[in-house]
Amino acid sequence: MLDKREKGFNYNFIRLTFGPYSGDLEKDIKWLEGSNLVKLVSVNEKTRIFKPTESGERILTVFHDLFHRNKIFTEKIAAINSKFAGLTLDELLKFVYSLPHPYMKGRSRTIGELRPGTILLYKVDPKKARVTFSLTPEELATLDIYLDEECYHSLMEACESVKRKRLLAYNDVF
Amino acid sequence: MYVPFFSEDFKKHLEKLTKRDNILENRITNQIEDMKTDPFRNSIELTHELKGKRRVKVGDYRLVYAVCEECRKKGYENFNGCYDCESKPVNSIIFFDVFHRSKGYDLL
Repeated sequence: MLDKREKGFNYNFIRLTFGPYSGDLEKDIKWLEGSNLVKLVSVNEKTRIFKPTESGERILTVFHDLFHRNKIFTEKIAAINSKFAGLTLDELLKFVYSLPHPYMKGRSRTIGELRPGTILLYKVDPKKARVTFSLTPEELATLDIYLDEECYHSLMEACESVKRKRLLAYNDVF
Repeated sequence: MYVPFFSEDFKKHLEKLTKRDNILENRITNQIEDMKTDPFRNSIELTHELKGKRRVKVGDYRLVYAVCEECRKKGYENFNGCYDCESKPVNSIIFFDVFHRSKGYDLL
């Protein structure tokens, strides 16, 4: 995706002692967990496996058209997932460490040979991207409500109330 | 001029949010007053299951509402399904909910 300047779900990754690491990705995972959109289903000292929660699944279903429209990204992610998700962490690291650094000029070095802290991947600058994830401001505003479970449920209850009950006039409220 | 109407949930949530916050109450009241003249200004249409509704920001708070004129013009009646739709004049604004945007993603 970086080679083709496709701006989908890009993260900065650096090489750390125990493997590639992205602070942004870690932050997003915490946010997704905190928002009850994904849950940790399996954990050991090396691996964490997350799955969408009921709320997460609902968003994926409701916004199916959005992900379908952006299938240039989602299909790539799905392909990577099906190829690598079954590997153990050691197998995955062995594979990643054997890859040449994608952008380092001069003598070709594998990722395993690089010093900790070396940048491995970076976010695509939106101005330089050839393709970006397509999301309209209207969809973004709608997603903003869906992503906050409390707001979403509050609004859904209010919508039901509007369907069943008499509306109040200005003077009843203020 | 547009005429605002409110859901019971809107009233309940507004009371809760503004119980100890007169400034917020004033800001929301001013916003609603402005919307009586132009309910479309600074708002954004929502999509998917929220089609037919609009959202406007008041600081970190969000008001979700529908404008009957737009609803009828664009055929959104089935999405909003207001209880006494026929009895409301075309220049009505229906306020569904008000809430604090607490955990939104930083894209916005």
